Amino acid sequence: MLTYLGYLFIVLGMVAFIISAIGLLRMPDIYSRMHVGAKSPTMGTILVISGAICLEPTWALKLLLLGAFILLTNPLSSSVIARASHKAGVPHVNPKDIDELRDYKEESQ
Amino acid sequence: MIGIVILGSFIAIIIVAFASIVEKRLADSIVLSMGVGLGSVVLFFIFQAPDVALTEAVIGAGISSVIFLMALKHLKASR
Amino acid sequence: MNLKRDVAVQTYSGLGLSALLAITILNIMLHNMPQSVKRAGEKLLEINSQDGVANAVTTVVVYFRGFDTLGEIAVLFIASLGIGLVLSSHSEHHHKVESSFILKTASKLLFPIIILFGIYVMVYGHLSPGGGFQGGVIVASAFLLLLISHQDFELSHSVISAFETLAGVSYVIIGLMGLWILDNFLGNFIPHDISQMGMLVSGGIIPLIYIIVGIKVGSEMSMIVQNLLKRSDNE
Repeated sequence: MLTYLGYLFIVLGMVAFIISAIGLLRMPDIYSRMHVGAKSPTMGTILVISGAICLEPTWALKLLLLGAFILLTNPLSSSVIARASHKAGVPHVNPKDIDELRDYKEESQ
Repeated sequence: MIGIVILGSFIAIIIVAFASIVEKRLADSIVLSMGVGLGSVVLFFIFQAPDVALTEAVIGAGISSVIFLMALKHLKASR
Repeated sequence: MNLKRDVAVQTYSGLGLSALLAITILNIMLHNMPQSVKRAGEKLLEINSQDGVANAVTTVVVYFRGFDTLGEIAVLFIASLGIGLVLSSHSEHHHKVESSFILKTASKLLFPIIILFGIYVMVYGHLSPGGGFQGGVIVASAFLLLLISHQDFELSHSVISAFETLAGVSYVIIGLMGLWILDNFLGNFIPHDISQMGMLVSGGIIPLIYIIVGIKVGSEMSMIVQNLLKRSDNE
């Protein structure tokens, strides 16, 4: 029973990864790509890790630590990349998009 | 099954290495050379050398590319 | 262009060689390995079992080839020295790019975890994959994260060089003590019982030497990273 639950989790994680890969190909500019490339891989990794915990319950502690580390680092790296590309002046595909960082900078100047 | 993975990583390494030579922009070329390290991590792990795989993952994909990028920045600043 | 033709020739010959390698390895995978290749590993494991170290790679790197490892560390030291010399330009123009609040907070949170993982890889080098070189580089990557995210953070030269010198000197002292007690440079003079194999305290001097190697590699790599980063910030 636990085995089948584990396989179900892993397959769901793979689906999340595939959706993120399709999104990376189809999204127009770097900010929306960042959105796709950060959120669904985190979800997929968490699902695969929970599947692995169901398959091998003795590894639970190490795998939970791994999941916590990924939850910490994955959003951080994508936010840093998005901020760096904003600073480098990568344009939006639609200039009328809401850009709160630009508004904040204009206010503070 | 495992033969397919080995062959796939070999082909991926060769393609990425070729692309990193042909690539005109140096920063992109450095990022592509990180892909070579990634493929060889998979190969080392399959051939039961986890020590080498760990070293390659830390040095090949992490530190060495960062050092290359910083050297590139230094070169651009001095020009 | 002569250079372009040379690069093309080298690339194609490299492609040919790697195809040959792939065919050979697939051949070995599909058919069985030749007997002589199999027996080499068995012989190594047989010698390895006398040292009471679970990880055979560690025994080869630190014990059978301990002198070579000393040389490798010296090579790394010379590389770090060279980078320090080449980049020693004394211009004080410092332009700072303030990093975001998220990055600063998260890197403070992540730094102890990465350091802990590096020390784990170092200390368990004789039991599991990993060891001094890997653990040292992981520690250096933690310092790299802190150096990138905090502009005013700087490693103290004197502390780093003290760590590095102490590690190098104690490597040589342990080697010389082996020479004194067992007539053998880097002889394993601490008692290492075979029944202790797989425990944290086992293998005599081998875990000690790997921890020393880790400290030395970590300090050297951190120094290289800091030299490159801080000098390239100065115009």
